[in-house]
Amino acid sequence: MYQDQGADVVVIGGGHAGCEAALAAARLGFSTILFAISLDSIAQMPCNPSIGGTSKGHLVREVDALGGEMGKNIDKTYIQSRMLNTAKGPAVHSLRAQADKFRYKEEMKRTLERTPNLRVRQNEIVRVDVETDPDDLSERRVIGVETATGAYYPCKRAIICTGTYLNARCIHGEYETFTGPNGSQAARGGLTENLASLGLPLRRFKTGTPARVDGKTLDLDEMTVQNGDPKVVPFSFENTSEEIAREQIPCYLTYTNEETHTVIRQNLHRSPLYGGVIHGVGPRYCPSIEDKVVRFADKERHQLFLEPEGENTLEYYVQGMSSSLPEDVQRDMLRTIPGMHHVEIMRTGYAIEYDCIDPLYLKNTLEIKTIQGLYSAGQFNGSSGYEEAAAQGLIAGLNAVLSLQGKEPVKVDRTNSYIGVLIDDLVTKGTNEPYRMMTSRAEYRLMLRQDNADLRLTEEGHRVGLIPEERYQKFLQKKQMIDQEEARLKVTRGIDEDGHSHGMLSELLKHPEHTYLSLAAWDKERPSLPEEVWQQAEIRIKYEGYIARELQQIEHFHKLEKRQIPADLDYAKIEGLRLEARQKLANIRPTSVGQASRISGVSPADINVLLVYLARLPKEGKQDE
Amino acid sequence: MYQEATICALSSPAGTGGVAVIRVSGPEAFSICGKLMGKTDFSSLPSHRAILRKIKDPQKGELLDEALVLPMKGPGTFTGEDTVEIDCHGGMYLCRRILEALIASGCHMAAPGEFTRRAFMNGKMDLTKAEAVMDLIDAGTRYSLKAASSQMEGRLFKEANALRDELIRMLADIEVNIDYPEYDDLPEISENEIQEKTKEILQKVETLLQSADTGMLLRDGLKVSLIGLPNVGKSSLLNRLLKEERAIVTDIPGTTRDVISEKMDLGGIPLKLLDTAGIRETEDVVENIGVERSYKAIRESDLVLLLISVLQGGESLPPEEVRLIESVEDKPYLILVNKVDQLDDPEETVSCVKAWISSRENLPKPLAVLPISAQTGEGIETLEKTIREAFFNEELLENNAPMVTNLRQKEALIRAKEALLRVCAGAGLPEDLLTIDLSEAADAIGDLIGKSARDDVIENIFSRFCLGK
Repeated sequence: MYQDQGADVVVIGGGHAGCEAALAAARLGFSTILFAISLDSIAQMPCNPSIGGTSKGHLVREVDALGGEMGKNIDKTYIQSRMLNTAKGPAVHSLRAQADKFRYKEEMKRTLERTPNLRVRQNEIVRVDVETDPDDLSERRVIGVETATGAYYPCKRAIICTGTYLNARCIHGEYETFTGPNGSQAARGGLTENLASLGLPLRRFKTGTPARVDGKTLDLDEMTVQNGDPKVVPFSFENTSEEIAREQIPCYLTYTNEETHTVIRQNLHRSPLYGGVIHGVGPRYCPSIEDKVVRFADKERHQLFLEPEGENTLEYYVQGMSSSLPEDVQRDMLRTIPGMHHVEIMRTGYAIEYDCIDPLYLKNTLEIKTIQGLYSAGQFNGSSGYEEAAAQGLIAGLNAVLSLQGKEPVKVDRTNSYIGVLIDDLVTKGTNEPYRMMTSRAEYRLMLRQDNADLRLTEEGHRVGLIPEERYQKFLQKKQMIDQEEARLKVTRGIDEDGHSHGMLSELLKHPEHTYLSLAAWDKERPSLPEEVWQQAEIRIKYEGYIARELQQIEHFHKLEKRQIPADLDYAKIEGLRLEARQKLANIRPTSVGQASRISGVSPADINVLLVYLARLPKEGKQDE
Repeated sequence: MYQEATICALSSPAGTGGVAVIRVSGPEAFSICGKLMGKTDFSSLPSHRAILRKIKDPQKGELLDEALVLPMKGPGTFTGEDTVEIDCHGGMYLCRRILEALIASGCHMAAPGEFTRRAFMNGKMDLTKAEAVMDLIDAGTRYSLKAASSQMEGRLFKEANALRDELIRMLADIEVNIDYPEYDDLPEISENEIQEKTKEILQKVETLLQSADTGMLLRDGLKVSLIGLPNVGKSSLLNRLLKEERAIVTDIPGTTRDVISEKMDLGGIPLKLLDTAGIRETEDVVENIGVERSYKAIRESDLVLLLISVLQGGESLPPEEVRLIESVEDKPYLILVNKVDQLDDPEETVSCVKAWISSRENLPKPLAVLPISAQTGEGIETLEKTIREAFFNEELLENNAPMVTNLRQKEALIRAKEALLRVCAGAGLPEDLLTIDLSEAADAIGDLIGKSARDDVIENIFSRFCLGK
């Protein structure tokens, strides 16, 4: 067997999770190898050609605030950008960009290649090598990985980011192939069996993607044009609007109709889902068109978007038409749609099944509970989406190296980030379908805005070492300017044209009819400030009451979060716990009372019992005081 | 979600003794209690020294009681937190009013075993007692399960569930448009609809809250003391009432209390007649013991029935009876003029008594003066009616409506109400801000039935709307 010199960190998979994990580890100075089955699939977007959207846009900005790459990469390669939900409150404004998916890949690969300490290697990992501590047989740790070609790479940390590749199977109608996404080679060389033999609870999830169609066969003038915003907000806090401005490419809106639905209904028996061929659990939020037609039978039409896959291609992605029906049915149903009567499919839509882990088996650091040094991120953890993957990849990569440095894990929790909500939901509640981020999953939504992701996380990004000093100093300056402007608005009166005072500007701002900009005439001494500065001051003042209440709730949250639960607590010994709670707690092993309180099936009475029990433990009792 | 809030509860066993102890513990114990006691600033008073204070309902300004109040600064307290103990006069009605005023001022009702749990957490209690606390908490859960299965609560749970479903549905309507802005075919809920729907739900919550007093009285029974001078006919009225009652008479078993009560059903109203033994024993004894016992019963009761002898025109009540009336103080009471079957003109006698009472300014005024005959049963129906009107919401009784039967439920509804009021006050704000309070209302109502909202909203979104790539 060929033996490589190995690396500190090995990343298995080069998707959105793998790229962030590898970059984070290498940038912190640790030798890192990223393995991908095909280097042409690095940072591939095998589904929709877009980054961001509601809550996902928040994730990307948080990744950027911590020093991740996704925001910068999409800023380089976007072809259209919009801020969604601008008619609603600032907490739910969401940034979404169409990507040139070819350039996105290329840019990311280039960034990986140019990163010191990082080797990029095309190969399939088929085995994670684990060593058992001779003194304590329950302690296991990662020591290396083995490739399909038989090479051995020693390592201290390994991060599994296999996405939808692991043991993948793609289905379109009667035709099925054992391939990964977009016809690529699946990871079928033995990793599934190896992980199962290590005792990891693997499960099978399902997702799907629509057809890609040939732009020259579309009648785009029969559809509604959807353009990008005139002024683009960058994802990365390092960029400005002006720096990334470029010409944008439109998307198009159209609808299915009764005829489309008839074609689908007549061919339902040929659907693998309804024919029982697919057993994986599919997501509720991303049903195939055949699911939609069956479940929402009285709906007359379904909305579709045609999204360009890139600047230098005529391929369009048909958003809303995910399907695993046979290719002839896919063609027939697409041809019933206005603007698509002569459409030619370039790539058929398909459903894909893949192996992943039950995330309840993970610590909130994304380390696998039973194997020291083995981390996982992305779709392997039961999530869905590029942004969810990138966020986890970044956290897993950081925590892997922070543990090598003997430092505290990255501080992300439900109160400071969507990333925290995502990870806490996965490892505390688990999921029975690919987990999609949503703003409604965040209980402190008003604090977790996309516009203040830097204020929430730059500090932490700097602590762990991914935010360079120069960017950090700029950030501190911005923070100070916001504080100063907020303070000034609270002591400055709004004086109208006739010299009459209307009270403090901060009080005026609280009225829905006033905005910072509309009050300019009454605010003669106003300093000239960048938009991102006065905007923060405005939001803080305008929603002060709500923000104060949310902050109070956050304080309560932290109190319970601080009450640690010993890792080896024997729940069987705690009298008074209901059976369901006992089982769930023993299974999930929450690290804090706060986390325990979020487990479904654990009641407030159980939490009381737990608190009393913990107080009886002599050591814990003292820590409380 | 669990929070380290300021909590309150009755800490002496319910219904025993002449004095009840209400305990308030937590970071805001001093400030909350201060609101009930003429803005007393407890933090400036010496700790662990009792003071006499008038307790008022801070919203209505009504005087509830005059009580001995003991402020204690943490950590030298039972729980280790700032604590205030209020020694008020017994009687469920009064205690409940004080607890309600505390809750309205920001307290939470303590969960079973919570004071003890806090004492543990703050290292205030010896570890051997831990098991006892477990039992307490466990018993509390069992009790609430049992309570939940009762019919009265069954209807309440159904109503609460329906209200919560309405809130969840409205939240899903709002949230789906926030999370899926690119869909132009989703039904959009307008600002007006949100406000209207909220007001509708708010009204239902308020109706439930109004049922609380009646519901709690129905569950616990209205505590009634029957007093009067020896030989005035207490014993025969008691026998008459017990004969009239149409449900089971229960002795409270195994008690060593000195005031024994009997539960009875007076035309569908549960009454708890206090000191029935005393009434029987003292009827023939010409001694002061009877009067002393009467005072005790008065202090514990929600309603006093004062039985008096017949009064002729121009006569005064005998001084012993005047003393009894004085001893009633601020308790609601009824004057029952007994043996009216022996009178030619009962009406005349009643107005005579009324006139005399109103002429004496220093005496507390009765809710009514009723003629009654323990012998024939005359006037019993009017007595029933008077009690029903004074203490129970007639409409609720008739309609078999869902009713709030304990303070925990009431507190949850008050929280829901406050959250809904904030939604109304927030008209004009973006809807994603309104969801903060709508979720809180759904959570508060969910506390009644043990459900949390967040996951249900997401479930509701996907079951009702067609979304996805």
